[in-house]
Amino acid sequence: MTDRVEGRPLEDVELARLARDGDVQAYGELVERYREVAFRTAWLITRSSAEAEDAAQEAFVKAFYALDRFRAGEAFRPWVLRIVSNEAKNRRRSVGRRERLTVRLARDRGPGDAAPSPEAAALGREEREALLGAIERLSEPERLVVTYRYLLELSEAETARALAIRPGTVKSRLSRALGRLRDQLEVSGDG
Amino acid sequence: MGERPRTTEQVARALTMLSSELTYPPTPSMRSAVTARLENERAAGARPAFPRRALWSRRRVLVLATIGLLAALALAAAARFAIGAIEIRVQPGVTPSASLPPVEPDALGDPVPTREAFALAGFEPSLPAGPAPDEAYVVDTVFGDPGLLMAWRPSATYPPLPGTDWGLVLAAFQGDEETVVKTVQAFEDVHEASVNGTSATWIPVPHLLQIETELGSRTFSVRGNVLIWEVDGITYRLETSLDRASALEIARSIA
Repeated sequence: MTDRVEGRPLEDVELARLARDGDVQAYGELVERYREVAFRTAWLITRSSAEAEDAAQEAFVKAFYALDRFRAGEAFRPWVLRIVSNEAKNRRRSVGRRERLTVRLARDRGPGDAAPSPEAAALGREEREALLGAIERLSEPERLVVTYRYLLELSEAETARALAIRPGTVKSRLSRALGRLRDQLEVSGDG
Repeated sequence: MGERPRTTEQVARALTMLSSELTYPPTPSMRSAVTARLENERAAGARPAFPRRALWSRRRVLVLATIGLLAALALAAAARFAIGAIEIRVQPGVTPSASLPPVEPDALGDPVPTREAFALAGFEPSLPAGPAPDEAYVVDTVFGDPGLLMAWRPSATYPPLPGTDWGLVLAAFQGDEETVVKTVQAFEDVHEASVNGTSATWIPVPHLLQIETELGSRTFSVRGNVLIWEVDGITYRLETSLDRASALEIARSIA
């Protein structure tokens, strides 16, 4: 029994400690917790489902062998996402055709999905497509920081840790990227 | 037709809203695949020791090193500091072993054309004035972004580095994850310098260099003189047989 104490799920740090002691099933619990964000991170970098799956799996294996470098008090999610990012970047080099960023249409929403907020609703399909196109045209460092911060919804601190850059660099890159996105949307709106 | 965001704040809000609308491919199950692979590798002994055992071994080394260090503490203090991606440790009594290899770039990978190396690493460092590097290498790291090593053959401009086939080796690393560790014996081995107004470090004595590559930690014995500085998020490490003034001149030419 590795994932619960008195009915409570174990904290990441405790699972990591058990895994460091050789408990592979405890590590499996960490994999289960973070497989979605790991896969999505890898996919946003490679834009290939197959490469993203391979990258995320390989990253989890590498992270396991690197657990002795996981410091107490550190958050596991950004730590493992950094390894995922590196693995995905290495694999992206060999990817051929890339899958595109797409958004769900209103009719794709399931009955349990939240209704879009007024702001989301105000951003019509054409505008959302324009925003996705503008993200694609950003330089890689800016695209990644926007992707991690807004699309993966990491905090600024997590984004900094996952991208191996300083928090101040996250702020400045985000500021520049948002300015560029605004400018591109303005231009495409004028056209 | 909706309203286009007009301010950066509106763009940020639109991005936040967009995140819930994005479609991703279905997330595959990974737990059983990862754990089965780890168990199989353990059974086959195909991988390094499990982390705890590796840690225990390292701890034992650390304990021994600490005992030795405590004796030396009366004379000197151990310390560490960093410039960008490079950490410098001061550890009395730690000397480069003769059995350790010098920094040979090809120990870290295969050479690729310089432009291709830049593309693979995802960044383009500045290069010194003069001839282009004879070879370039991409160093994949587990934690930080890829690094680059550029090497020049010995020439009238770049005298040979002891024990190597090279005259000049320039390394460039992104970010501040300390993927490179240099260990010197004394504070006096580390000298302050300045490159175009940027604080730099000059190390003119033999020391240890450890690089955390994707395939594990690699340790080298450095016999050349080393200059380290950081510009625009890129940490440069220049190794040369030239003196301080000449090394600084090369560094200054890196615009």
